Amino acid sequence: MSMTRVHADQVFTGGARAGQVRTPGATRSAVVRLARPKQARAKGSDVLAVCIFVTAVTIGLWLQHGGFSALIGGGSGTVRAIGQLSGLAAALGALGAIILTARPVFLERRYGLDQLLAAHRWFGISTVLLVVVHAVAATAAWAAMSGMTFVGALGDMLANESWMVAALASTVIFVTIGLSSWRRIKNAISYETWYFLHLTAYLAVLLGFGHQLTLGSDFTRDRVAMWWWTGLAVATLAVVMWSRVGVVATSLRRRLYVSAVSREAQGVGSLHINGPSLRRMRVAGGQFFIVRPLAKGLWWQAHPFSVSAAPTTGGLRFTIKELGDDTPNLLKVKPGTRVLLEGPYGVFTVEKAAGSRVVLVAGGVGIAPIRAILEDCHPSQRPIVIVRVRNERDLPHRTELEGLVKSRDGELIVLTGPREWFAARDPFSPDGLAAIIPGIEGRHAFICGPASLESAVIKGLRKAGMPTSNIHLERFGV
Amino acid sequence: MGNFARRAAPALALGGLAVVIVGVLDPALAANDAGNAAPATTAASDVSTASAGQASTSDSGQPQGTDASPATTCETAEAVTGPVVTTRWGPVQVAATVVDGQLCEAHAVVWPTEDRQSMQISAYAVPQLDAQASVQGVLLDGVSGATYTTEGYRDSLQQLLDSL
Repeated sequence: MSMTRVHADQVFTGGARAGQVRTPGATRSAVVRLARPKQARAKGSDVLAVCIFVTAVTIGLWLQHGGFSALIGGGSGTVRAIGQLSGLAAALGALGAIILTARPVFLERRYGLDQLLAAHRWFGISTVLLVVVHAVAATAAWAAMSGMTFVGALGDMLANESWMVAALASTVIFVTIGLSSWRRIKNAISYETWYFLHLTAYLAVLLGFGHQLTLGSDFTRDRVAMWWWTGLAVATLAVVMWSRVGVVATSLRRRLYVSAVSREAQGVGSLHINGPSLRRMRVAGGQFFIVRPLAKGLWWQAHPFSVSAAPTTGGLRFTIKELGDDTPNLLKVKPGTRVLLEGPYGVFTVEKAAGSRVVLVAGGVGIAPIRAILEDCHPSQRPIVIVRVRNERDLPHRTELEGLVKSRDGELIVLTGPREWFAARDPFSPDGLAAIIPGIEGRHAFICGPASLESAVIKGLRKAGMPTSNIHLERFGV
Repeated sequence: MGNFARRAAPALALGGLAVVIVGVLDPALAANDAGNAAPATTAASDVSTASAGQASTSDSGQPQGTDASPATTCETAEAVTGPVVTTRWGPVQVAATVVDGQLCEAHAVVWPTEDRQSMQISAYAVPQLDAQASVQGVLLDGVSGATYTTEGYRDSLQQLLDSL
């Protein structure tokens, strides 16, 4: 391993403008920083309050319909109550998962897209399991009530009850989506196959809603319950329309295009995006966009990429590593190609440090958001930048980094060596980190890189005395 | 583009299959082209209308004495009601017309209606039980899928006949 340390006083490219990106193809007019995104309006307590309210009303209606006495009553009544409860929970879970993945601004600005999607994953897994429990318990209860076999009861329901075939189809879709998201299967299929399968969840929710209203004993005899669930469905639909359709409309209206494509390092290139509407956008360093070039064979693939330089009216820059089967094509896009940008997303911005000193850790192309955050740092934050790359040739934007570090009274530490080497000797041991980071306890850390690097750095920083709440991660826009 | 088609195919197949199966098989949607859903709905509403008025006929738990005049026939005899039998899914009560110890006709006046499923089961089971009981008496075959209601029906009818 070689470790290069660039101290502030050793770099002479200095000046406040060092590291500023000159985007090829930018307009001649004065280049200004884009406005920073607004702070989140929703508080964590607001979100919690809404969740508790929705759960309480739903459980309350179930209790009012005698759910609890049936549950503890034993026999098939208990099975039936389990079926009802799991069905209600599955319905809430599905609506919650849809709202999370619709990434409405009021939630995204608070938690960041990676957190929303992590929560979506848990909501999704719970929903699929609850749907299966509900289907089995409800059929078993039906069989017990009518003295039929399980299969007989299933057939009876399908043949005679409205919306039961739809409910079964809904279950099959949910289970398929669950299976396709199981890591082993997800790794075997392409991202888009998985994504398109996931879209059928909207259909599944729609198909599942019918039997709730016609058959659910919580609905058929209670007007309040019926309005409550209709209201929840309408509210969810409103959030989806507003967030998803609104986002697509906005990105279409922006009229952005690729202004240039440049090579940065081995296997790494930059996509420069510009357009007249750029000046109206609010973006901060460390945020990312979902990028969709409108070119043949690329328009249907969405890629999350971090802005790799301070966003200005001179253009946005995305630094991209050639991995996967589609990224090389992205770097072959011709200048002038229209691009849809969805976003910006993410709360991985310098505001998280609240003015404290910082340490920025990047692995490989994770340098992109780190580079942009570094540019947003104030000299009083004394940024220490640790970059891990396989070899020096793999480090994009080296000159820029050195200039930025210099002008911000910081330090750049480049760790080179193959991955296996790092596995054998941990450069992120608590002692090692404490030695190169003065005042580590009071700093905030920003980490972006592969999961192995992420976990090694988190472990080292925590043992060296940094509070967990000071550690910030970006898992998405690499 | 071939790539796109290949990756979208599983989702389109899944979604398309679901829509087609639901459209063809679901009773709610298939009702338009087949008349099979209509009788079920009528039966269900029959049950609810009947059950609304059932309180007046079921207030006497004990069978009323019959007028044992020789002129009485099945057509002129008054129906007697059996006791209300509580089953797992709700009460069952049977009324019957009996002449000289011979059962002319039996029909339920109370049946389980506590929830939608019970109503649905009663809707198809009760008319069958009535028809069977009128011919077979307490030894009626019963309706599969309505075990509890069948038992309650037998019980109420048995007690009615015993009390004569």
